[in-house]
Amino acid sequence: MKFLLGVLITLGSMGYVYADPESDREAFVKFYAERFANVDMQDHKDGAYALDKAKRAQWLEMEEFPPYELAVDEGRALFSVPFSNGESYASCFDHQGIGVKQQFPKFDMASNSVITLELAVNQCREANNEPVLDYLGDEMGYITAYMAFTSRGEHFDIQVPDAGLAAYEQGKQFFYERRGKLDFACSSCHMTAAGNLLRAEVLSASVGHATHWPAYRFKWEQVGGLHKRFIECNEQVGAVGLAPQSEAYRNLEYFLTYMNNGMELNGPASRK
Amino acid sequence: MNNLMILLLLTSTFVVSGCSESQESGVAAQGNEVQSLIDQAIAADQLAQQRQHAWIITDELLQDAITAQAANDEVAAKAAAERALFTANAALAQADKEQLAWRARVPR
Ligand code: HEC
Repeated sequence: MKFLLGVLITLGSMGYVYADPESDREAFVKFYAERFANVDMQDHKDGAYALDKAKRAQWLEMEEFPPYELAVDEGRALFSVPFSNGESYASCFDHQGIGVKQQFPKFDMASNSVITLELAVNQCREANNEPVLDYLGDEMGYITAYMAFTSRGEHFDIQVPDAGLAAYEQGKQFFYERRGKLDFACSSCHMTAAGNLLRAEVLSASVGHATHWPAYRFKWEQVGGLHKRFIECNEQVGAVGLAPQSEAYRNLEYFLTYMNNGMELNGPASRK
Repeated sequence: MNNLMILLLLTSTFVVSGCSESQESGVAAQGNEVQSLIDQAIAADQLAQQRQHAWIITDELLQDAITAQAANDEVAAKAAAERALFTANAALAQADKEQLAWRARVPR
């Protein structure tokens, strides 16, 4: 009897582990479609600015002189400088690295792990005997800002092969798990409370959370990546943030970006 | 029989500690207790970190405990260490609970 129960529980949890990402995504999108019936789904790529008219007007003014423009220019220059062995970033990516951001993150069978764009940039450097870049530093921001810029207008089409299901599922669990002294999950703020105010900020919908990175934030005074935002969101509920590009954050990005499949890329962006 | 055992134990403790507990050894005993609390809190916090569920406050309280201990303020050190152990264990309890609880939040 105990044995049977064990088998049932195991099967039950296996059923969960191998839940279908596409039905997850459909339910995720439906949640926001119902919550924000008057907002075009694609508009969520502008985050909170899709939900608040006054803030949107301010932001559009800001975008007239995009604060990330310099980063794109710097990135374009850095991207074309050859490494000391004569190779360049172009040699590491499809289409010479132009317009490829929508492919990331992707599941890599060889390393059995999720490869984000930032990780791919550093893997490219390592393969060419160049020192790796600081994930929170300016140069990584520049390169990825340029690469994102060349991918504007593309749409996410992230794939989860069978081998990638465990990573996807871990990212999903991270998103829905409560953390920190305040006991909040990502979903507590960005689903349950989406559209509401937290202090002076309107809480954005996660259905547009992956589209626009890296972003120039006035608070940061630099172009920073999605994982820098993860750290901040973890810390504001009293949880210890993880290392940028840690496995857990890459898995979280994998899940989140899969939930953004079909959304248009519009990075880099500016945010307050 | 229980009473007898307790009596025996008490007597032997007195014998070992030499009956007359000086103030210094009292402080030392408390120091050991604080150190043990700090060690337990660090161990629990590290477990919570491994499970990606650590709380920032635990680290802050541990720092407070260690600073107070270095300043020989055993009372403050003990209070902070006890709180650090409490929050580290609360973080672990959260990690345990969330192992299943998250599923209820997934939209269907
Ligand atoms: C206590 C509430 C809270 C929690 C919990 C929280 N966030 Fe946030 N998050 C915010 C606020 C506030 C902002 C800034 C306003 C906005 O864009 O929503 C933000 C912004 C973001 C952004 C940037 C949106 C944009 O348009 O640029 C992302 C991405 C994000 N959060 C992801 C997450 C993830 C992933 C988690 C879980 C690890 C999480 N957040 C947990 C409050 C929260």
